Amino acid sequence: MTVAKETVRDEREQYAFHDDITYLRETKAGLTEATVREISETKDEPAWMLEYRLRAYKHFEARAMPMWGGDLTKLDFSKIVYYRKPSEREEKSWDDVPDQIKKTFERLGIPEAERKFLSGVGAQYDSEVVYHSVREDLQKLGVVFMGTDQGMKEYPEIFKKYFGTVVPAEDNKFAALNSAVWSGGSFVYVPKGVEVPLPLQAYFRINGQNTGQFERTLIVVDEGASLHYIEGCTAPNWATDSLHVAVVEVIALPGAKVRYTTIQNWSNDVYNLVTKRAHAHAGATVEWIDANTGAQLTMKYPGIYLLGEKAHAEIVSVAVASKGQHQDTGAKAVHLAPNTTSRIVGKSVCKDGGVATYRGTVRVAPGATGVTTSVRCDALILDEGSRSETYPYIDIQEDDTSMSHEATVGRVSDDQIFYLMSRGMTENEATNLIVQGFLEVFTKELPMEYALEFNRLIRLEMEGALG
Amino acid sequence: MTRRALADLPLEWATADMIAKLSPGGAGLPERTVALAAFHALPTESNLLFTGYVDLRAAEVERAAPVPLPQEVCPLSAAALPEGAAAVIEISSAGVGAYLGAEATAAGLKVTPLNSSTSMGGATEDRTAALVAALWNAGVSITLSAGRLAAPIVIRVVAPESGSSLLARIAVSLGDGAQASIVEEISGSAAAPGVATSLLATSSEITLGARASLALSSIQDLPEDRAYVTVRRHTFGEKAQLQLTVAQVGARLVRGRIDHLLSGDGSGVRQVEVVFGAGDQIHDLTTYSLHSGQKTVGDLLAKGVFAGNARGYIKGVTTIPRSGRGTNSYLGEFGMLLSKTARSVAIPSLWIDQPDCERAAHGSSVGPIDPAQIFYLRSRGLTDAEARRTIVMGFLEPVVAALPLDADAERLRDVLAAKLDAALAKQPAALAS
Repeated sequence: MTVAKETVRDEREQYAFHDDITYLRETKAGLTEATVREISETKDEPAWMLEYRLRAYKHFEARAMPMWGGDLTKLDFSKIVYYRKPSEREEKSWDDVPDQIKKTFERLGIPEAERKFLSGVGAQYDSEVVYHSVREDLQKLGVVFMGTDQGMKEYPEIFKKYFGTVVPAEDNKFAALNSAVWSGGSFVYVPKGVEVPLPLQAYFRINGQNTGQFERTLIVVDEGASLHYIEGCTAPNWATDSLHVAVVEVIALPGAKVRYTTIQNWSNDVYNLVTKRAHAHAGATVEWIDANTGAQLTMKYPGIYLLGEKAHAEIVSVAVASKGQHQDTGAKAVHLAPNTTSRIVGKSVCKDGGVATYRGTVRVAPGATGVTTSVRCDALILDEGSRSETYPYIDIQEDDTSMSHEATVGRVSDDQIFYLMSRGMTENEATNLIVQGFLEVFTKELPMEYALEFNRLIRLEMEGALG
Repeated sequence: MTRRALADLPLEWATADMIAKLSPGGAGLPERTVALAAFHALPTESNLLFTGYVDLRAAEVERAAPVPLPQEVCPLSAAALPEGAAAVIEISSAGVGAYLGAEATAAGLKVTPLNSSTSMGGATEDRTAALVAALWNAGVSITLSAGRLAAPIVIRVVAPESGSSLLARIAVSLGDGAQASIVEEISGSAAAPGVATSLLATSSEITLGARASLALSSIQDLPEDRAYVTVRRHTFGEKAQLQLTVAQVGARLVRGRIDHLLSGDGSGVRQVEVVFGAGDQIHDLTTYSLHSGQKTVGDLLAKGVFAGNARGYIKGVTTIPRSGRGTNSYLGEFGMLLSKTARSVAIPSLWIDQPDCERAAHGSSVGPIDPAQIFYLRSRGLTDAEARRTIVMGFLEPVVAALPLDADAERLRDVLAAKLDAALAKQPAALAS
């Protein structure tokens, strides 16, 4: 099938780059209480945040590594740099961004994307937000979209009221780590009744060997408001392990509607250990649309706690695991109020020895009457040597719950390949098309530009899949 | 009641002295010693997803040591043989007894004491299996080397009343092409109400030769104060077939593990399991299917009805290793909750290394009784209570219908109906919606 290979252009290098940046300030590798204090001091934070960080650090130290999920034995916390700051202040205008960093972003196509339709860009270069722009009309609506550090200082009331309420510092070992050393990330506040007409977008990148990136995102969508937030990740390739430990907290107040879309394409040496969780109050809708194609190991289970009556949760989780990758992803819906609904769709593809795991939880607590929930998780295994695992956990404690769950694992059927080949496709093209169709449940939820980019990523991942 | 420690199966009698007592003349002592070490070394549950303990809060079994029992199989009288059965085997605190009818004798059925050094599969991998392997005090070996035994073999297991434990091993071996059916009745007489003071543990070890076929039905309706631990391990020869039907109705606590080792090419298992929990019952059941042979079939269905404060944990792990080409595997877990305080947990897992599979799927659902079905039945003249009863009985019927002896089917139907009526009577408010 040598001809087939030419049909797919290898675009991998587009995402694999590294610029030599002179960091203005960075901490020494390794994590101690002094590192935590240093980070807080550098950022000139209020005392309560330092206390919070120290509390989290103590918990991180005391908490054992998780015994489940992916292989974390090679992760050496002492070799990670926990904070580095590439430029002195947050930039409001593209022109002010240092040339070196700008060049990197240009390769990612940020200005292009912005010109077209994005309403705001928060670009994270390593640990600090260096560039932020929010369109003026959004500012007029009172929408806040800025770096989390800045948000803490400029909107202390909203920030302090919600920070750490969805993902407490003691939630898990990695949430504790993030809480101790977090820096960067986005802070979004949408006031009552405001509908943000276009998606807000943040690009994240990791640069620098052994750089940990610990961004912390806090999104508060007030009553009746709506927001679509998009996060896309790329990272340069490095030979040694990088660590990405993020925490994302979303609060959807009564009647709010929030969609959070992620395309994760870290380079294949990154440990991507992310805690994403949302609180959905009465009548609110929260949607996690989550795709993971990169990283060495991803452990990410976007969760939604349905706290108010008639809240709705929607989670679409897609994973592609190739050589050397373990995508341990899934979803979590916790029904704590009556008449709440949730729908979970998980799709995974594994190939070339990759491992794809679906790990999901659905809980219906006592008192949450009239719940309807459905879970569907499907997996495609493209070759021998690859592995698919499914671990759904369904815990129902109300008698009038309606729960359904389905899962299938299989390969691409010979009939489908044969049909497409009879229509003139090569075997590789046919497989690509079938895999794209399999993942369409995710792609169709994306804005068009992203859908194209995602399909290109999948084609790239699939390149030579039939060897 | 004081709350007890959960995680450690606190059995004071799981000691080297005890296993020495259970091994007269030292026979089988090495095997028991290995198993006892495993019992003390293994975690109660190694799968982090599953409940990591056996909830023995309501069972005082820590001092209920097993008593050494006679090792021979005592003859039972012909009157013990149920109508339509080929043979009957009784396992109780008195030891093992058996009566073989003319058909069983003619077919060459052999019922003998279990050789004390027969090693038990899984004894060093699973803690509850290790418990039985180390401390069993009753054992029987049932062998049919060839041919077909049309009438079923009835195995009665009678739980000890109080103060002592019965740990029984039942080894069944079917030779190439042999066909048989077994009905297991697991029961006990009602003891004084209160916490359980005896433990019943059984190990069913089934080896099927090439093209052998076995239908095994098990009805467990122990008094609701007993603790019951059960392990089953099934090894399949080429094209061997097992039809397993299990009804878990009684006991305060049931912890069960079933292993299907489908190593023979073309072998298959069909399993239907129903669980009916009420009161404070806990059912914690896991089925492991290993499809290591080619073109093996696993068709597993579990149904649970939970009323009162009952809790049900129904779990399945289906593994298709690289060697399991052409596997066809389905696991279904369906629950029905009849009260607001009942709880159903379903954890169906898949571990798949072989893409060339015909089917690898699981499905589960939990729901209330469908109001549309109640409406339909009421429109036909049934009362609300009758309608509910009919629907739940229909939900459980597949297991009842699979029983080979009419008497067993009738008895199970009666047990389920009585239990259902009691559960419905206790929950009028919850069901009035």
